[in-house]
Amino acid sequence: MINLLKKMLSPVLNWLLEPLVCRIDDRLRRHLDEKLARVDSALFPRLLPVVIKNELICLEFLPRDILGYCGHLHFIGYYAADVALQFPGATAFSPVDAEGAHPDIDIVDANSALVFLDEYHFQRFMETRWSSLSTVAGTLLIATRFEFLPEADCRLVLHSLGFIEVACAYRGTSGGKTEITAVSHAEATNCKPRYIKLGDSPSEAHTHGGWLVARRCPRKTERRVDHVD
Amino acid sequence: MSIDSLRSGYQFLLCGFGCEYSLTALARYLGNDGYKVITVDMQETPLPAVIDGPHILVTSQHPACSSQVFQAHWGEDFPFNQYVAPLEIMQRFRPACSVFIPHDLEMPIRPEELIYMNAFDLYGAPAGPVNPALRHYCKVIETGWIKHNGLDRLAPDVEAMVAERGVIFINQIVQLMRSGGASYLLASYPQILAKGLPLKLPEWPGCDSLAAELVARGAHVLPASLSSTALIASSRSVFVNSPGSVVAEARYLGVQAVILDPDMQNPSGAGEFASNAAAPPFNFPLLLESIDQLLGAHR
Repeated sequence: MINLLKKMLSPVLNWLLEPLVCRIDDRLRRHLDEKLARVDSALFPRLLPVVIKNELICLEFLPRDILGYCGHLHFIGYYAADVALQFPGATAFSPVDAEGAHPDIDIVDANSALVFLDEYHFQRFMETRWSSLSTVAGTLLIATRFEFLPEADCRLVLHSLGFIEVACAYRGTSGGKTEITAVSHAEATNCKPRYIKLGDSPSEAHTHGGWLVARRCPRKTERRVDHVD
Repeated sequence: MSIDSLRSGYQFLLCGFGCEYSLTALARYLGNDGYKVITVDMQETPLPAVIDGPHILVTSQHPACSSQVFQAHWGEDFPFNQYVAPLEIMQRFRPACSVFIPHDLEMPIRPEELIYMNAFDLYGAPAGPVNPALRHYCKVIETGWIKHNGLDRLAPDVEAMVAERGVIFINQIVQLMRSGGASYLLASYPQILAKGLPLKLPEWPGCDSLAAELVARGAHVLPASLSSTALIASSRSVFVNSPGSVVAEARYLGVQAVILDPDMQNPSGAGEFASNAAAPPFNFPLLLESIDQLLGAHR
């Protein structure tokens, strides 16, 4: 008897409930679509052309001599793969290739370097990783025009992340050695930047954006007895 | 890897500066137990140029302060020009293992120093809660407070004196010197002369001459090299001119601490204290076993 009732009621219930189920389905699907769209937009900056243009410009001034002293290099940016090809053993990550957040980077080496080809990538990296950058690399290079964060805030963030020294690196279009200026160390009690040496203006006007170099350990200074690495 | 291998295969490099060097007892323990030890209080001696052979670095210096920031605060004259920051020591000598043992019980690790702890392999945590985030950065072992070690002993006459009268610890020494030094100190805290309260200064540049001046004016000044914790443990009560690690140590040992404020008529007690007469001494064997395990794991 019960089975007979079930057989009779089932199509009726289906007929009654189907629109309701479809409406719930639509609402959930819209919600999911919106969420995916947000994730999508987070992966691609609104000013994507600007980021790409910044990368291309800053790559002209890439401080190659500084990178030459580092061990493993990991580039992050839309042109990361192209740059990585120029450095033996270097690895690359591009937001275009990944489906989600940055993958884990297995670099725990004080001599390694992470190179962000634009400050946008640095921002996104910080938003998607839970562990501190200083547990990953000994040196960070960030191409920046300080459009996301003012310079003082950027330095404070880097010092708070465990990079005791932050400096500006300028390498002109004519190549040559990279000039290091505006070196700051973390203030002992609050990690605010304390400028050790306010350098002179670089020989070529800094009009094309520059690089910040953040180190876990300070560079060896001239007045101490330095040991060759 | 046995601890015998640690004893025969490694040296210990102990570093600090002045009152931020809290490893004297550790040096004594290691020396007595047959380990090779190099002690460097950079207020007295410079860091050696070279360390031959594998070594283990133990430091009590603030990890987030570079040499240049230190000298920007304190000047580049002797002995401050001898200061080398822990990260730079590691960069220079590349120790096989690095250990941080704090010199300040009130705030062993400052909040902004937390991330810099990833430079160390081991952290010897004193008493009190440990920030769980630390375990992401280094191995944490609960060794206890380094200055409560069962090795530091006071001379009987000193012990008797502080047991009867107590002792006053002077902090904020630089500010005090700028305010007038001995004159300011004796005027602000008349108990020093009126009650014959023994006085302990920190080990810091300039304190020798301040001590001499205080003695000349009739104050009873204890040697700065005396263990502050041993003094506290033997004292009826301790007095301080400002809050700091001494108050935390007194609380740790169950001794009453009183903050003397020159602007206040009556001294204020430094909060509640819990009697903790059974506070265990620093666990030297645990420290050595942990270093041994770490070095063994790296092979």
